[in-house]
Amino acid sequence: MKSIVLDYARKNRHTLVAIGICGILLAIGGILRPGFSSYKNVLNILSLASFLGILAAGQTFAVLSGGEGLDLSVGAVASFSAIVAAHLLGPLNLPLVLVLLIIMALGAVLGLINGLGITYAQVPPLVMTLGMIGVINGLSLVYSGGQPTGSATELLQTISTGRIVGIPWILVIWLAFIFIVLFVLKRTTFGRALYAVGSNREAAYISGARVEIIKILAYSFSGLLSAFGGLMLLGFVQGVQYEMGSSYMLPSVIAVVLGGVSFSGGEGEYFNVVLGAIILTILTSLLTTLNIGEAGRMLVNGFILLALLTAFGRAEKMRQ
Amino acid sequence: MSNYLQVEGLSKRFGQVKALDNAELECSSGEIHALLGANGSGKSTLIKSLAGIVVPDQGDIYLRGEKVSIGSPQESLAAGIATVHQDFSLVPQLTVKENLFLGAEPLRKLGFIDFGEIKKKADRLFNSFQVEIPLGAKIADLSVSQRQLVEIVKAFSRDPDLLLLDEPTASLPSERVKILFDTIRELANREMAVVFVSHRYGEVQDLCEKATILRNGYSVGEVQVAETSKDKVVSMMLGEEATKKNYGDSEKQSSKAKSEAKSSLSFRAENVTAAAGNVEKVSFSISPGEVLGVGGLQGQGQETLLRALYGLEPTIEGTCTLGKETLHIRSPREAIRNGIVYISGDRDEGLLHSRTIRENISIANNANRPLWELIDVDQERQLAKKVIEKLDAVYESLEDPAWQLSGGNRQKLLIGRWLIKDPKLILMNDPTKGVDVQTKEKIYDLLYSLANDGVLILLFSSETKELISLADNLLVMYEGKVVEKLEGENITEEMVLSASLNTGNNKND
Ligand SMILES: Nc1ncnc2c1ncn2[C@@H]1O[C@H](COP(=O)(O)OP(=O)(O)OP(=O)(O)O)[C@@H](O)[C@H]1O
Ligand SMILES: [Mg+2]
Repeated sequence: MKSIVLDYARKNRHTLVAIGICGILLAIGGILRPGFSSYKNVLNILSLASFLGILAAGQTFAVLSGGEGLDLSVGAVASFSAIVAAHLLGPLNLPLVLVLLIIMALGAVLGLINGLGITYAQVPPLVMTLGMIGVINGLSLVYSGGQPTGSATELLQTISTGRIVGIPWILVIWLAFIFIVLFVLKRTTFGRALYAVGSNREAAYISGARVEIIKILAYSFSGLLSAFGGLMLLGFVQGVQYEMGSSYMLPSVIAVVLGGVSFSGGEGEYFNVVLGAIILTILTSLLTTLNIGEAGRMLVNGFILLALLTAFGRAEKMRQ
Repeated sequence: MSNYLQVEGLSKRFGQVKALDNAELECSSGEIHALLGANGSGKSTLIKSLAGIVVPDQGDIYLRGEKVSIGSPQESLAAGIATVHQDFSLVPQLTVKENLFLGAEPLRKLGFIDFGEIKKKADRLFNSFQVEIPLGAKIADLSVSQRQLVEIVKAFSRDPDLLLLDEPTASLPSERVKILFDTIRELANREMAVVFVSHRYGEVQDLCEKATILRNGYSVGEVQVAETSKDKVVSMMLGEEATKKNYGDSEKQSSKAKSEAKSSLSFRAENVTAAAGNVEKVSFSISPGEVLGVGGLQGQGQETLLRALYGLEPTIEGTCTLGKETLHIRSPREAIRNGIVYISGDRDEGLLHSRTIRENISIANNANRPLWELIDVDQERQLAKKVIEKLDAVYESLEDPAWQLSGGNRQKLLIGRWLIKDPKLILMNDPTKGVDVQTKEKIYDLLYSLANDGVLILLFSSETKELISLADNLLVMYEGKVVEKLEGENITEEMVLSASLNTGNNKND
């Protein structure tokens, strides 16, 4: 019995450690600033984490696909889709469901371009998606003519900031979102093939997988999910600005690393990325509440991240 | 004490698995000592402990009677130990030369590395193996047998006092094995101690005087090879009961006697020519119930032929028909759709190292289904369990990543995954590489029963003995062409050799 428990702990060590760190950070916050770890504040923090968590889901797909997989354009896609959504909802007055579909299709197309460039033109993911940031920001300017208009409708605002029986709607949505992402990754043939291609491209090909299509789909998913994140963000911020999602680019990568998703591809769980996003958000809120001032905050943030990343990054040595 | 190496009570656990459990090993200078055991019995773990890659939980290692602790590969090298690893220790992105120098510590002497000396030795060794591997080539671009040679040369060029060889012959063709053995003997004559791991008993008889046998991580005993027999050794490897149950049975069934094949599909290939140029106008046919072998000297296009038939190598000419159907295969996916599968001994090419055992088997199904279909994990688990137990694989849990398995057990995943597909034609490229004696017998039985059921089999093996004993008929290839087809029960190694040499000589005249 004891050994079964130990075994479970060994296999899920990452999850357990991540939950532990969340607990420790909340406890420290509670000691330094009473109220930090109250139910209400924890719900607030989780709500904030949801936006990062959604964008980090896109990042997870890209990193899982292997071959130095990475999608730096998640933030840019989110920004652009927020601008388009605001315009469609405001001036054009389209219904939210339709806007949701249009926005996700738009994100998927942008991701598709990334995927095509990476597979067929063989541009390294880092270069391709970095380049796409410029392209997408340019598109934003062109689309809005220099002056983004519109704002979130009341319904969208309710979804992003409102509550149902005391629980923020956005958390309910995030929970559903987590289930869908886990389902796609764990229970569909696509998810299984994505892990296979990321783990060993050659082996997946020899087994009959259509390696290129799967990679392209991974980046399309990344775009689609990021666009969804952008829409939620619009509801949260309410007004539109240029590049409102760009501050999520780096954190989305860090959340994925904290989640133990391997940069060699084909290994890692979205559930742990969720925990990574939560850790990151708790840390940021903690440093904000402490009023340390910008420079100090960045320093402390940097050091703690470095410590966490080393702790997590020292994953077991792979093949010997 | 005359023993150069003495290992006492060595133990190592990985989670619940006791990879080593009080293992003992002794080897003196000038001795070539065999280390034998079934797949997963701890041979590689013992070797890795001496190479500084695995740190044992318990036990002592003595070199020249002095207790040593080996905490890292550098310390192992510094102690005069060089190792040929089963999974190779080469960095794929680096060149042959860079790999040869990698980790070269200033052994003995002065405090600097004599790169010139290493290169000279490497050149000499490559020469003696009669191979031309450009020193500037990237490891990733080499074939498995070339990589195996680089790994060997890398270890030999360090001029160690103790040489550890973990299945150095698994990926070598028979001709090279002879040269390797001559080299090893020469080194042993110069007082080098050698530990040699192999699943080919013939090699052990050829090379070694004494052997230590491991079972489940402990040393069952040390034997004089000349005074024992293969059956005795195998029963030591398995333990008494297991022997009666498995090995005895399969021995009886391993005859080529065939009943009438159940299916009547046959396969024809005509004028198959690979774009790479090393397969030219190859034609043959396989009839139901037949195991057709492709043999000859190493690298005469045999592997390229199999890969071309599977859609892994582009072809510029050739038609293949299966039954009445003409095939146009440009990718593995199309091959699989047509009932053709490919089992390779190149584990880097076939395994999803970081994924679970279960996923490594079910990928044979999953990679070919529509992407939106759902996965039934329970069914996956049952299928995986069924095929992998058929092959006697040693594993702890189906949810463990494949890299945790021992080399031979990993190979069983590559075979097992295609057994869930009901193929019509199986292309086998060294399928039993690294698999232990008794499981090999099982695989041979399986192969015959598949052939009996009408599954067509095209087999290449780097071990000519295995090829001859398994194949009903044998295509001998030379420079990409089929130069002779040997038929019937009584094909011998000499016949294969002379078929290839005759052509070679005629050409030179
Ligand atoms: N890093 C590891 N983590 C977990 N288990 C391991 C690890 N390395 C080895 N094992 C397990 O230890 C056992 C012994 O493995 P080892 O590689 O030493 O076998 P072996 O005798 O070399 O077999 P083979 O003939 O197949 O090469 C196996 O059951 C294997 O699964
Ligand atoms: Mg081994």
